[in-house]
Amino acid sequence: MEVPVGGGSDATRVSSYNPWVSMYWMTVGKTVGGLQLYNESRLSRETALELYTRGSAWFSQEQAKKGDIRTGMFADLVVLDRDYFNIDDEDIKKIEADLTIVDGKIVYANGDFSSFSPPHIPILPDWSPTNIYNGYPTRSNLQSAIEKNSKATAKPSLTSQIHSCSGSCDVHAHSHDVARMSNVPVNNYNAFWGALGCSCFAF
Amino acid sequence: MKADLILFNGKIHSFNAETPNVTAVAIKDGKFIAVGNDSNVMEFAAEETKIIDLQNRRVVPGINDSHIHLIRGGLNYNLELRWDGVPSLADALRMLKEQVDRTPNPQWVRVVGGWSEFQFAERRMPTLEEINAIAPETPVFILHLYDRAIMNRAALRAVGYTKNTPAPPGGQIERDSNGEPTGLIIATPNAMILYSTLAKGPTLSYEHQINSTRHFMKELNRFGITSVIDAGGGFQNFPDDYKVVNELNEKKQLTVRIAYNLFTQKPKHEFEDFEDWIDTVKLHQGDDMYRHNGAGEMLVFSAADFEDFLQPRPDLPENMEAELEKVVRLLVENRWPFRLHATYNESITRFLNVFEKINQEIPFNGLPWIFDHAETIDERNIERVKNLGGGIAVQSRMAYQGEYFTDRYGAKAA
Ligand SMILES: [Zn+2]
Ligand SMILES: [Zn+2]
Ligand SMILES: [Zn+2]
Repeated sequence: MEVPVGGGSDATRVSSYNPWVSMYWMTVGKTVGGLQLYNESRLSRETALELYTRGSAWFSQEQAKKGDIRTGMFADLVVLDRDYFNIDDEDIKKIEADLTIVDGKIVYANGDFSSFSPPHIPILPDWSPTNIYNGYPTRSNLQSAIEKNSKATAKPSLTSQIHSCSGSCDVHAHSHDVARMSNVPVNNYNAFWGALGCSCFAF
Repeated sequence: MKADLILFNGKIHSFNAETPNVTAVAIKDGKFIAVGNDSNVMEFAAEETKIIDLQNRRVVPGINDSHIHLIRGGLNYNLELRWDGVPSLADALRMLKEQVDRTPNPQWVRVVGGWSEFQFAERRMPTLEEINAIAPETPVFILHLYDRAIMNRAALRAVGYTKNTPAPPGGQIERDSNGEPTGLIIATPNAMILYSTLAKGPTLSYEHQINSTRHFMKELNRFGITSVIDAGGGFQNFPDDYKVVNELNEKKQLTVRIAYNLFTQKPKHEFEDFEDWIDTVKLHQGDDMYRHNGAGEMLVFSAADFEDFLQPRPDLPENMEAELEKVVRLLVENRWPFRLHATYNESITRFLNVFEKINQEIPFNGLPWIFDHAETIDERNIERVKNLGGGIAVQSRMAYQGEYFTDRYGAKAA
């Protein structure tokens, strides 16, 4: 079968936009709660990445212009904070960019590359939740949330708890009970997916 | 030719079999002009070339999300408290409390998806009592997957739901023994009640929507996203709700490339929408940063399956084929690529019957078209998609809902 397949999230109203959570799901077959939902149809990391790059490019008929790092193509690339191909499964969902380039321009820089970062744009309105939490809670926004939060509210930081909880820990172990005790009819794809359904288009 | 930018000393992943493991790239005018090892690529350096040492880090092609609702998401990003990845309900409620404390009247605090109770250590959703205690005055609206929204009393007052408010078809307003709304609204199975209630909340000003969209794009850049295909969305009107993204493109402030599909907003009058757009929108109009990409993911409302796990799968109405045929025929005649939201194999079989019928009279002949989601598609229908030159856009929604399903099935199996 050579049907074109593109990767995606359907964010933002049900799923998160974090593509590494999707790639974790495609390659490891576990939910965000740690439940193993499938095993046989796990993709290789290279294939999952290919769906999210070259694969997706077909869906706007731009496969000759983007989706790869190749002479003549758009200069769009990402320098990762860890090596996608050489890390543990659980670390895939922690991946972030340290440098993102679109159209040959640096649009995002962090960590070792933060000196290349474009100037910060103030977040409006000033009471916006984005101002404190600034997106998906992971390494790079954790520290600033802790600092801002302690300034803004002078209360013990909630993000310190998030921090202590990232990675394998007691919190994530809880979810394994569900997996152990259940009997997922993964062979019956109709029931499996059909029971959940979707109405993403609705909004 | 001299480069604007050279990156060297990286572990660069390319799908090109001739250059599988390269270490350097040279860039000029937004394109790669050389991909190779450090010494070849350095030949493109000039005095004014910016040179960055990648410190042996992993580099991959820019990530492209082929089905996202970026344009609508951007207009709202700065309004929404996100619980994505928050490990416990206690943390989530503390975040809620802090945001309630700093949110001015008449704004709401809204948590709109991206979480499920199975990510929380407590493995449960917040209760109405909890959110009423946290926010006696500020409206709070919390959307859970496709199935429900949890609203506090202040939010019920803000939207004006009372004893006498009827629920729309396919929706339910939960009531207490006195008939008063409790704050829980449920899709049974039509999610319209959830999104139309959400749409009653205040929006950001135009200036703040510009700012919000820029921050949403930056957030996507934070995960390496450089391109997306926008699938439209309900209440996302063209061209009005595209002004922000259009202005950002004119100012060269887009940091994600966006290809957008046009989504009809008019049940029973979808054909008129597409006729109008075919007249006024040039296919693929725009540029390499912001570009029209055809029709969908909504083509006709009768082809939309509004299921959620609480409800049995309803069959699509009998008039679906005729309505879909009319619209797809128009699109094929005008060589407009299209995408169609299609979850179930049963629906996909019927959609393919329509497409094959049209193809007999007006050959698709390489016209690109897409099924979105297609999670239960079988081998036979995949073959039919292939024969008609279609593609399938897959997403990871199950990563967020899997436990829900499993708890239900696990209990049944036991
Ligand atoms: Zn944890
Ligand atoms: Zn969608
Ligand atoms: Zn959809």
